[in-house]
Amino acid sequence: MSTPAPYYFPLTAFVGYAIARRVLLCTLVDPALRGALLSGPVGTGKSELMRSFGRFVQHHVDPDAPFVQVPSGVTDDRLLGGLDLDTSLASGERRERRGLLAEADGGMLFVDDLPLLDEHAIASIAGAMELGTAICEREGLSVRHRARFILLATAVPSEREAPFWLADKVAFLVMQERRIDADLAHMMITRRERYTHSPAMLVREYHEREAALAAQVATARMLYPFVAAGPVVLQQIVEASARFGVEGNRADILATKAARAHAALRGSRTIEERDITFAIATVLVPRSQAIAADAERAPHDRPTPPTPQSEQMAREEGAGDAPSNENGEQSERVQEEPQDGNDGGASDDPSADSERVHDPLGFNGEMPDVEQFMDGPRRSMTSGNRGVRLQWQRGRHTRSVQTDPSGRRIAIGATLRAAAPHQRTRRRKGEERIHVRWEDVRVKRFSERAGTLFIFCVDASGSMARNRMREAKGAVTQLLQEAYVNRDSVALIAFRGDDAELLLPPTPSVERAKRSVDILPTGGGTPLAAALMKALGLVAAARRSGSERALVIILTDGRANVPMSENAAGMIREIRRQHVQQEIDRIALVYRREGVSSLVVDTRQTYGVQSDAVRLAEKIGARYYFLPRVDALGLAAVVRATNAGASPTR
Amino acid sequence: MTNDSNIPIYPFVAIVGQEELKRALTLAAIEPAIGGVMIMGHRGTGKSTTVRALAGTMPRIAAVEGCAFNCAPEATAGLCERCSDAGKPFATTIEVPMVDLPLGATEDRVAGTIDIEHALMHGAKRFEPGLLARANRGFLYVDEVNLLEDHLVDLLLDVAASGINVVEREGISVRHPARFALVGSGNPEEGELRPQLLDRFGLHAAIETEHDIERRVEIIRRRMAFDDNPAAFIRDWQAPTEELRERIGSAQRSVREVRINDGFLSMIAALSAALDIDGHRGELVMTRAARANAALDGRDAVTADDVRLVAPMALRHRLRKDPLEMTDPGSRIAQAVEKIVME
Repeated sequence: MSTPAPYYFPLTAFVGYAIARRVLLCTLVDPALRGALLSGPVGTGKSELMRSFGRFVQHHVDPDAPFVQVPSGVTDDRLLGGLDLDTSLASGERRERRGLLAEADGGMLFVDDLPLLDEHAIASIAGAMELGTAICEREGLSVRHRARFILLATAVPSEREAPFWLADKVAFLVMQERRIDADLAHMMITRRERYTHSPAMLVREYHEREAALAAQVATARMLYPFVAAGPVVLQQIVEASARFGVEGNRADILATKAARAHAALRGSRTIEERDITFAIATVLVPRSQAIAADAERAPHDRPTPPTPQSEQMAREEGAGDAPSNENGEQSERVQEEPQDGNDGGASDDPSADSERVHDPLGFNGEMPDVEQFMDGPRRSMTSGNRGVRLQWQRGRHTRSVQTDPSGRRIAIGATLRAAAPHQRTRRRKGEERIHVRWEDVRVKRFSERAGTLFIFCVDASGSMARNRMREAKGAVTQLLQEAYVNRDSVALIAFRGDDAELLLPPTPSVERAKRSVDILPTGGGTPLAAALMKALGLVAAARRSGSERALVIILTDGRANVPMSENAAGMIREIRRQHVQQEIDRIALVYRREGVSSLVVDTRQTYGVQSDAVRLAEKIGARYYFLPRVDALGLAAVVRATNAGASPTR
Repeated sequence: MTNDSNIPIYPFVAIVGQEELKRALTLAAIEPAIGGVMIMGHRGTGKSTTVRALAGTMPRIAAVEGCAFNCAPEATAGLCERCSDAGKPFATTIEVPMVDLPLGATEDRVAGTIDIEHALMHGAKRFEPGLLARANRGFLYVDEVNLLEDHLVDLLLDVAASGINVVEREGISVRHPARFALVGSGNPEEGELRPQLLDRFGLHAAIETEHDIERRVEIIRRRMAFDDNPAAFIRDWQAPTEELRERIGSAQRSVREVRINDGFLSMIAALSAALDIDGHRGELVMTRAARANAALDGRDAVTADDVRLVAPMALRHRLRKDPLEMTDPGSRIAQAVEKIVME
C-alpha cells in the first residue's frame, strides 16, 4: 500500500453528481451497503468521481484504505491470487501470490465499465463480496484471504447487457440519464483546467470543504448505530418495493440501511421522509421490474422526483455545496439533481438507448458513418468446426505446450517429465530435490466450445407483422431449448415505424426470451437500414468479447422505405427511396467486408425473382430462403441448417 | 474450510418463509440418498443465506481423526485407502462438511492432483486431495450453478452418480470415496441448466420473492437485528436451533426403519406415469423423501400427506418441457396429486 499522491481533484469540486456523491458517502457510513454502480453516457466524469472518492477516503478518512482498480481484461488468477511461479521454482516450495481482491481488503475495489468484465471475473468478485473472503482453489493451492471491500463500478448503458447479478449485490444503482447541461459542463471543464495548471491552488481552495465533508462522515459513522428504523419506515420501504415490483428481499434490507445512513449523514438520529425517498430512488427504483416491462406507463405513475427536498438536501450538505462565490451554481445544482438516479427506468432497459445509437454516427444530413462499429480489437480465433475456441485459461485441457508461461496455467506433469531427464546433471550428490528450469515449464492449452449468437431482425410493419413476430419468437424459444448444448444465445430486434428496437438483448435464457415484450404492429414504414445497423452493432460487440460466431437473420419482405437520416422526413418520395437504397448499400458493404454471416427469410406471399428480399440478400451476401408460411419450427430448422453450413433443404 | 469462524451465520430457524426450500434442504440432510437440492429463484431471495444456515444446524458426525476424506470410524465400506488398511482408527466428531465450489475453481483443485511441493522437494508422487474429498459425507454447494463450466459439470455428474472420485492426471492414479449431497443454486434468467445435470438433483426448490407485506417487514427487522448484534441474535434463537438439530439427528437414525406400504408405492408410480416423467429417479426420490419427511415428524410410517408434500419438489424439474406451452409446471403436478393421491 503506497502513500497516496499529494494532490487529487477534490470531491467537493465536482459539478453536479450530488446524488452520486451522497451515495458514495453512505457506503462509508455502513459498509454493508457494499458499494455503488454509476451508469451514464461516456465522458461524464464517472470514473474521475470514483477516483477522487478513493483519494478523499485515503486522505481524510482512512489512510490505510487501499484503492484497487480491476482492469477490464482481468483473469481469475489475478483476482483470486495463485501460484507465484518464480519464487516457487526458485525455492522448491509452494509460494502464493495474493490477488487483487485480497489487496483491496479494508478498502475499495474499482471496476471501470463493469459490462466489459469477463463473467468468471464477475463471479469471483461476487463470491468474495458474499463471503468477505477471496477463496483461491487452483493450481494446487487452497487459500483464503480476507477480502472485505466496497465495490465502486461504472457502466455505460449499451447494447451489451450489463451483468446485473453483480450490480445487484451493491445497494446503489445510480443512473445519469442525460448529459450534464452545457453550463455545468463548462464549469466543470474550467475547474479541471485550473487543477491541471496548478493543482496546489485548487486543492487549497477546497481543502476546508473536503475536511468538513470528512467530519460529516465521521459524525455519521458515530450516529449510525443509533439511527433506528421503526415499523413505519419499514412499512414504507416494503410498500415501495411492492409498488415497483422489486424482485428479492435483499433490496428491502439495503434500502433500509441506505435510509439510515442518509439520516446519519444529515446528522440526524431519526429517519425522515427525505431519507426514505433517497433510499427508494437509489436502491429500489433502479431494480424495478414492473416499470421496465411496462414501457407505456403514464408519466404520472412514475415516482415524482423529490425536487423541493433535494434542494434542502443540497443546502444541508454543507461542505458538499458549491462555494457561494460562484453564482448561480446553487440553483443549477438543484436542477441537476432530479435527473440523478431518479429515473424510473431500469438501467438495463434497452429501448432507452435508441437515441444514443444515432449520436455516434454523426448525423446532420450526412450518411451514417458505419465504420465506427467495427472499431476495437478483435480476438483472433483459429477456425474450426462449430467454433472451438482455443484458450489459455478455461475449458478442457487438451495439450501441453512450451511457450511463455506468464498468465497461463502450468501443466505440472508435463513440466516434471520435461525436467526429469536432466536431474542427473542438475542435482548435487544425495539431493532429493527436483530442479526445474524455465525451459522445462509446460503450459496447458484448453479448448472450449463457443456458441453462436443468433440475431433475429423482424419486420414488425404491415399486416403480416403479428404473425411474423409470433413465429419468430417461437423459433427463438426453439433454438434456446438446446442452447445449453452449443452455448448459443439469441437476440431479437424488431423494426417498424421509424426505428429499430432491441426487444431482447443477447441471452441464452429461455425465460428471458419468453418474457420479452410483445410488440404491436403499426402501420408506417419499414426502417430496414436501422435494423441492419443495430444488428451490426451486436455483431461487433460479440466479436469484441471474443465470441466470433454470429448469424443475422432478417425476416422481411425486403421493402424498405424509411431512411435513417433525420432530415429524410422532408424529402420527396423518389429522392427518399434513393436515399434509403444508398443507406442500405453502404451498410451492405460493411456486412460483406466484415464477413457477417446472414440469412434473409422472405415472407412475401408470392415468390418472385425480382423480390426486394432477394436483392437485399445479394447485397449483404446473405443466404436467401423463401418461407411464405413462416412457422416457428420451420424457421428454427432453417436457421440451424444455415448455421451448420449446409444449405437449407426443404 | 467449511464454516468460517469470522463470519457469523444466520440461524436457519430464523429464516422467514421459504418453507419449501427449508423442507427440501432438511430432507436432503436427513437422507443423503435423496441426492441433493436444486434451488432456482431470483436474486436477493436468500438462497445462499439459507444453505449456509443449514450447515450451522446439522448435528456433528463421527469421523476418523485427521482423515482428509472424513471417513466414518465404524464403517466397513466406502473408506479411503488409508482408513481401510488401518486398524483401530482414532475417532473424533466434526461438523458436517459444507464445501463451497467457487466458480474460479480449476479441475485439479476440485478433483485433487499431484502434491507439487512433495514432488519438487522429494522427487516422489503424492496425491493431494481436492474439494470432492473434503465434501465426502457432507454437502457440496455450488452457487450460480448455471454458470458452471462444462467440464466441471461433467466431473460433478460422474462423481455424484458413483460416489467415487477417480483421478487420472499428472501421473497420478487414485480412487477415493466422494459421497455428498449436491446443493446448487441458480437464477433461471441467467441461462438454462442441462437436463442431465438438473435430473441429478434429487429435489427442486423454487424460491420466490416474499410478497406479503408483513412478512417482508419481518424479514428486514430480523436481518437488521442480526447485523447489529449477531451473537445476541444467535443466542435468542438457540433453543429452536437445538430442537431442530435434535429432530434431524433422530430422523437420521430412524429414517431407514420408516415403513412405506405398497399402496403408496403404487401411488408414487402412478403419479410419475401420469406426468409422463422419464426414468425412475423421480420415483426413488419421492419414496426416500416421503420416508424422510415421516421421520422428521417422528412417525414410523408414511402417510398420504407425506407423498403430497414431496411430490412437487421431487418432480417439478423432471417434467418434460414443451417449448411453446405456457402452463405452469406447478399446477400440472398439483392436478395430478389431487387426482391420484388425495382420492
